[in-house]
Amino acid sequence: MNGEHEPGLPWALPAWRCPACGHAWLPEASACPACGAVGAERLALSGGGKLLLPPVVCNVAGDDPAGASLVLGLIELDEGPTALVEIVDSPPRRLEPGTTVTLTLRRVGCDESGARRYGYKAAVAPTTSARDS
Amino acid sequence: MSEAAVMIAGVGMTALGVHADRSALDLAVEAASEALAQAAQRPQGVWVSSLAAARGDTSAAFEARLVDRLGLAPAPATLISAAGASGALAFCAAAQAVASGAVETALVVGVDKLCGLSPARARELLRATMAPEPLSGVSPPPAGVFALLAHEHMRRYGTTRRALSAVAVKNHANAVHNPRAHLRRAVTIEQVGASPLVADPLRMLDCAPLSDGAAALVLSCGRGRVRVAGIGCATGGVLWSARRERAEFTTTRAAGRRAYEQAGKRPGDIDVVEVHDAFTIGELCALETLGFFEPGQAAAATEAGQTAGLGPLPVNTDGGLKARGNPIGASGVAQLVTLTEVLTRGFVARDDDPARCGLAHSMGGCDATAVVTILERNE
Repeated sequence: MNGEHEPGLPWALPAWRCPACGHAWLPEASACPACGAVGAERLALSGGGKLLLPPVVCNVAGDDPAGASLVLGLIELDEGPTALVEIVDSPPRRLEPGTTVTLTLRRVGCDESGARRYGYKAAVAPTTSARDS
Repeated sequence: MSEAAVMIAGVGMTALGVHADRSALDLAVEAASEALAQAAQRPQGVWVSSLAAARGDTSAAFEARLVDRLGLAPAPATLISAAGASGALAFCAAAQAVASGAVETALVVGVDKLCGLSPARARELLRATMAPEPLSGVSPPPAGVFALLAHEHMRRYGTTRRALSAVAVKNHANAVHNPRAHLRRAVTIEQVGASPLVADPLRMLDCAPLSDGAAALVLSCGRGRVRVAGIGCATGGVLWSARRERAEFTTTRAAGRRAYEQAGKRPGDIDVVEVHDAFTIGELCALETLGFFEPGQAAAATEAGQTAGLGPLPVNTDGGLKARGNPIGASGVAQLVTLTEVLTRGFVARDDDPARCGLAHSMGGCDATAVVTILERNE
């Protein structure tokens, strides 16, 4: 994570928008992935988004019965970039495309020295109306 | 190839599966020795592909030790690692060296030994084939990415769970005829659908196993029975999630276009195909992207038997990564060994004329690196 403090998220990520075609993306690239234009504008992320596909439960535990599974979702952020992210705090129901989510800073693992690493996961928003209000 | 004609002069491959009592070096030596004996030529350069060796899981200076074991010193050796595309990329580099005249004869050896890794280390190795996602900084499990690809294909084209199973059933049926296959057993549609869930909708029998094994080829300038007619490589779009078009392999499309153009071929000219089926959905997407079927039509074609061993377009006649096995760094080379054998000896499971032209598709990650190679029998 390349953390920089900007409005919107506790640990803001820079995203980018192409002034020529309007495409928005993550992570940084020197030219627009859609049209190749240079001169991208920096974009602040609000932390809101929605699922584009039903998230998948990945059984990453293998033969470790104590291991957990993770729920992986493809989301589109409100500002346009798309990304894969772990879905957390999900209610016990099947999540459909269009379900709103909010990015939340969580522990994502440890580095080789054992230090905790943090990154964004996506929590299912309580209700659409609550987030839109 | 546009310069000197590059021929395949010799091939070799170990059995794929579990080799608990043999080192990766032993496996590489066995495959390379078989290919060198068949070619009866001494290579001036060696290209080695391996995921585990490149990440320090096999041994230090693996490629140098291989050259010494084969008695090829001081031939220069290069280790290439690009996840699942490693072997095909090593083949491409060697073919370019022969075509350019830099060497007259080249040896390509793909090898990996993955069955002995701890489950945690194996998962770590597999995840390392995918780029970290920007929001989390963490690489997703490959099965999760391909499961989402399957959802996208289902949403867009109505592809069914049964069609994914049909790919696995077909490739396992092909592996029954392959004495070197890791999973040499037939499975049914029902067995695939009832196998343990890995990442919904993908089940265990949708996923290729991790295997031990090695494969090798000798490339020669002008001598051999099979000609390298065209190779296309492409890299990009490493984050599947950030792509605008997610139901096809756009990097594979670019590699395929280059290979077809170089070979002067079209999809209709191809008699036999090997595609990267680490997950069953990958085979369907690859066949559509490479122009063998219209988008969304590969599933119905597979269920109708068009890609079966006895069908009009045999696909993964050796069982594919799915059932032949997936020693990751060797898989791209193994595909080309299979195609060479089909082009020179004919199909194992059918009696009609041997194929004249074959295509192999290999990729790293979820289409981050793609290599498409077209081989043609030298009449």
